[in-house]
Amino acid sequence: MTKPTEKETDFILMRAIQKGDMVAFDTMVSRYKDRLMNVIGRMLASHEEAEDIVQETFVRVYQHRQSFNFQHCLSTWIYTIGLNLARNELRKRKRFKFHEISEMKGNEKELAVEPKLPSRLPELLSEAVDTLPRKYREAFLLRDIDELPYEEVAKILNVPLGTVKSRVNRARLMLREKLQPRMEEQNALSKSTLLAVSGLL
Amino acid sequence: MRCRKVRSLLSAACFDELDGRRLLAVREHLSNCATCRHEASLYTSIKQTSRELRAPKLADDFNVRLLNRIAQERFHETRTRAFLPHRAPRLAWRVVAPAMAATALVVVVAVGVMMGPGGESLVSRATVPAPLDDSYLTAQPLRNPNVARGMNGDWSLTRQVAAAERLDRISHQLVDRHGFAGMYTGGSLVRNVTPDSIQELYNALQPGSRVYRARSTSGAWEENSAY
Repeated sequence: MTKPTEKETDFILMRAIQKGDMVAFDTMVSRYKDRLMNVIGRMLASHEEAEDIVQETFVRVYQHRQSFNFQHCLSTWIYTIGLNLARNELRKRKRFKFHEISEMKGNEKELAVEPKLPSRLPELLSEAVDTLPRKYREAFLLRDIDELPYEEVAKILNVPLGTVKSRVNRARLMLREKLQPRMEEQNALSKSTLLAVSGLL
Repeated sequence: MRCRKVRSLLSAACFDELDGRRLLAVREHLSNCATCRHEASLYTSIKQTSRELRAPKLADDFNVRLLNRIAQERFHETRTRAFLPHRAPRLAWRVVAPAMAATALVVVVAVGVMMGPGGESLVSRATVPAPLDDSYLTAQPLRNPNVARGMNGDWSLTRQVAAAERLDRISHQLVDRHGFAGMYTGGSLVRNVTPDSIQELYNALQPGSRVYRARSTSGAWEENSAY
């Protein structure tokens, strides 16, 4: 007997959720919460906001559980809801600029000091990802961080497959351009990287 | 394969998205080109690091809080569903817009019709007050034959007043003789009061008329009578 695929188990869970099974809902949340947070947490700078959005996403999934279309993947549906909520949040932020209270307190001395450069490559990359334009960032996060197939990313972003490929490629190129000088500065190219390149050869 | 072409494929090659002849061609080029190899090392570094990136951690009690919230939502749903009326239907612009357009069109057409072909408004014409009918102030020829019957050519207001006075006096005499209540019983005159007797009374009360002559506007003498 073959092991059911993730898509199949998702459908089993969703049917149970539609019947009101909260254990199934809890299982589904555990399956997707970290993956969703991985994308939304990098789209929104504030951790609390990202957590709220993830929570809101699952609430919406529960509220609209009866309208789920079994012809699509559950993951696509969840990511689409989450990304739409995150976009709305970003749009709101554009309209109203929020300031944290700690920022408003007089810390001129700290501001005068040049921010310390992150010393590790993940921090550099994380910082560079944050500076990408939204459409490239979304494509990069879904494809390279969450490792979703291109077809699913295209469905989530509701753009053609070729556009997704182009956006991902462009995001990688932009990241390389951003990271190259700083990586060379800090001699971040480790031996393992060079070995990996040699593995490509 | 040239450097330019290889660089366009480099990210895909480093992220394991290239296969077949293209991958072989890229590999072959990288073994000979140090610049492209350096660039490939950057992509590979990005790929490795992106996998190392730590996902932002959710709070430990995330599931508990989420389930609590959903329980609240369910409670709210079940509590309100029984009592609240259905939501008022939204204004369907797809239906309303054509109806509004049609109404506007009807109004425009109606206004156009009211304005008339010459541009003069029928409304303004209708609001102009009609000339007052003051014909009752002057003597008008009688067209109604029923009213005109019994009226001869020398009809005058004085004569009519005199006739009315005579009838008044007759009615007083009748009341004096028979009393008001006894005048009518079931719509007919009582006792010896008949139309003929009334005529007699009328004739008896014929006022004396005086004939006089007066000069008319043409200068001729005319005879007139006055009561």
